[in-house]
Amino acid sequence: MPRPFEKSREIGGPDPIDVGVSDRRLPLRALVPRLLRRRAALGLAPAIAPAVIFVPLGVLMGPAFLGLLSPDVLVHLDAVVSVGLAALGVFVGMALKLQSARDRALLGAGCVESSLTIAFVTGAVWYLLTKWGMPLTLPVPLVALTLGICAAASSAGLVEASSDVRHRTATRIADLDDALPILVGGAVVALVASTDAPRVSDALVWTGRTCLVGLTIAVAGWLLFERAHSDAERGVFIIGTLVLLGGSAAYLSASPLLSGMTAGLFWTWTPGRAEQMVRESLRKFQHPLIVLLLLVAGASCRPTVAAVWLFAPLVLFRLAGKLAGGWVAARLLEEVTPGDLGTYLVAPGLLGIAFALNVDQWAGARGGTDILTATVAATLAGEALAMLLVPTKGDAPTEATRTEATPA
Amino acid sequence: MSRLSLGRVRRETRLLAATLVVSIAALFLLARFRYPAQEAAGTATTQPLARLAATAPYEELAASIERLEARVLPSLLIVRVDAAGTRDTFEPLVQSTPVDSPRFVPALRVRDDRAIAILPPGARIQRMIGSREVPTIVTTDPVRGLALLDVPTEPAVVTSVWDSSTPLSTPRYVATAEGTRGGPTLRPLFLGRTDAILDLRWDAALLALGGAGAAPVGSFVFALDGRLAGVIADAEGGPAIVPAETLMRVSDRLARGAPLTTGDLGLTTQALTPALAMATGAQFGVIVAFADPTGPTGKNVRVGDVVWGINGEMVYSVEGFGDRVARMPPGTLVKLSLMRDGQKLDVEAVVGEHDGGPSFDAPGGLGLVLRQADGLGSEVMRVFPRSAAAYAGLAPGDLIIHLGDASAPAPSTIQRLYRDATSGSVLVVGVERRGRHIVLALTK
Repeated sequence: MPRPFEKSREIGGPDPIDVGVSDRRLPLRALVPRLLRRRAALGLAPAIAPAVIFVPLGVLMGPAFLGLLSPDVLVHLDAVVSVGLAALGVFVGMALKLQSARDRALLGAGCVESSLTIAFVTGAVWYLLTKWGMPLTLPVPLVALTLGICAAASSAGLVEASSDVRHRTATRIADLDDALPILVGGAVVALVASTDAPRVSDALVWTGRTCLVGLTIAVAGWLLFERAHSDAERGVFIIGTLVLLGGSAAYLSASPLLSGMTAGLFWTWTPGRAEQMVRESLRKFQHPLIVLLLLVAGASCRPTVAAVWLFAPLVLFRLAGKLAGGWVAARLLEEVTPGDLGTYLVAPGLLGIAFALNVDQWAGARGGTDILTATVAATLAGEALAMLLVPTKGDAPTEATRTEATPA
Repeated sequence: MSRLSLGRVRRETRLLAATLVVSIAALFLLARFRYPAQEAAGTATTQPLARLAATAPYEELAASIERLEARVLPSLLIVRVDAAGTRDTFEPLVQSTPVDSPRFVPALRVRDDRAIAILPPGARIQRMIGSREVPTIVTTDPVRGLALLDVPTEPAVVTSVWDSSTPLSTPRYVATAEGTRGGPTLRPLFLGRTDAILDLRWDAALLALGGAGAAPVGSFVFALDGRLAGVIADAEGGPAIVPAETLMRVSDRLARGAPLTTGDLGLTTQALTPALAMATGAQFGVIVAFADPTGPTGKNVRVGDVVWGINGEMVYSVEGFGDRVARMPPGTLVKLSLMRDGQKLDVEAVVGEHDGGPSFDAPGGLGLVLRQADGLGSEVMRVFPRSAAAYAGLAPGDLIIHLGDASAPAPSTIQRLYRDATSGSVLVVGVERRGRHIVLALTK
């Protein structure tokens, strides 16, 4: 039976590693023994969010502790990180496959929810930074908006066959709500990377150029791998296209996430088997790339005073933004969204970390590392909050809900 | 089912309401805190791929300055001070220029409504660049020239301060923040070496800069990572950096309203020339040119004495001696080591309060002791340092034969004319000095 709501972002859908995972919505008392009996105990299955496992591991391997990921190593991994970010963008783009009016409504709900979260966090952080007088190299509005984007990402967890429809819908919205932050993030990265005085008009132009570059590479790659003679040749073309997406974005001071999302969107809408081919190829190395991103993010963290100050408002106002966004989206589009959408979206996933890592590449010493550290800490705190807030199976109605009653 | 849905909505709404209430409360609670001063971030990184390629050092320096601008310029203000404030040295034999251009002095915002700046003696603030409001001088440290300004309220950026326990290693580049008519500007300053010199005015070790004219006095010095290293001030032998910690300590004292009275011994001294040294038998020190008979040392010190020590410390310059005395609170017992008629002797005196008349605290004061010269005018007996008369270039022995519209003015006429003049106006003074006739400008 097809599973229409497969989670396809961080973990790329059901693959051997994802199969047979435990349900993290179990009560803690039952969850722990179950985790210990499974691969989740080693972080090999997403019963616990990957960030919870690999970010602390990255911190341990980083310059502050073991030094395996020394600053020199991290500098040389920048190029690989850009490719990893582009791969994430491709996943987000391919998740934007809108086949029905219900999908478009879900995209609208996701945009409403993410824009409200961005507004909550940006406004609160902007206000606090102004009051605190925190010395920042980057402009205060830019820092606030960056944190808002980092907070907007969400992950509703893995969908299983036994998951109720509300959970499935929330997961689909969690996939779709990444599009708007990545689009706005493209402009933010252009502003952060600019060596001149930041101008919004330039940023918008660069956002357009990033999309254009992503589209061009996607077309070129598609022409190549659609005509490949063998799977191996196709795989090489797809990997080459992905490297080109990440590398060109890094070279042009653009966002690999946005260029990747544009490419993913193109492959999804292109007739033929492009989406399927890319998905199958990316599945082979998506895990190493994501693990690498998380390890690098952990190793790049630095527990500064600024990061500690940014952490608390980020956690609090992200929670408020998610709940408010879910509440509003549920009322604007109540025929497709569950009433308690916000609580499902409390878990942050890893897109926020990925975006913060992208900003850190360009503005590490100008406050980027503080933003990354605060985002990583807030992500871990968000995962903990999600365990408390996300409705467990016991809370969920087993009968049809209003969502199920009005299928698209 | 509807009951279940209703319950779910209620739970969600309750949770949202509770979160919003907590968030708003937290927002206002967190906004009450101020970010503490902290260690600044390290050097900035470049683009990911550009890090692998070498860049020209000067481009890197320019990029560092550019990043620094974004960090420190929000905390800097520029005030325009009038011409009276531009004459920070007194050179009686050099005729003052008729028109002095205004000067743009940088000020560092230390609080939302307060800034500090090193202002030239007698400076009056005309305006602030980029603002219609005119800052006012709240108080001034008369010894160090550090002024606390009341500036338009804006959120102050916390300034990271260089920890003086870490030496400012050289050679290195720093950036100086200077004032221009357009606003603050940063420019790199290469420090080949910095030598610690003890300065009596600041009661701390300053960092002497190699080479004069490195940056204007009053410029703030920042390390390239954004930390405030200090401010450039006049010191014996040339400009020096006052360490940021010392600067902040003094500005805190100013902000707390600590008393700023300065000590005075009633002595006017001048440097020891080789001829005077031979005549007095002193190898170093300062020679007394005038001892106020009613002052603290009127009975113990006389003209021609050489002061070569104060409280056991050697005296080498007029400025050093004056600063040392000025820093002593009135009522302090001080021991002066003198050379009189080739003999060494020690005298004690109780430091008095500087009546000085005109100084930093009373910039409008005339600062003259006059004696009537019948039919000729008034003879200048004494000129108080940092007074309007001193800035005009008057010196003891001058004969004032003309002031404003008055010819051969008596001392009372001079006092009255100066008192009645409006602030900022200029009186023309005709002076006979050693047989020559000169004209000076006396600015109120």
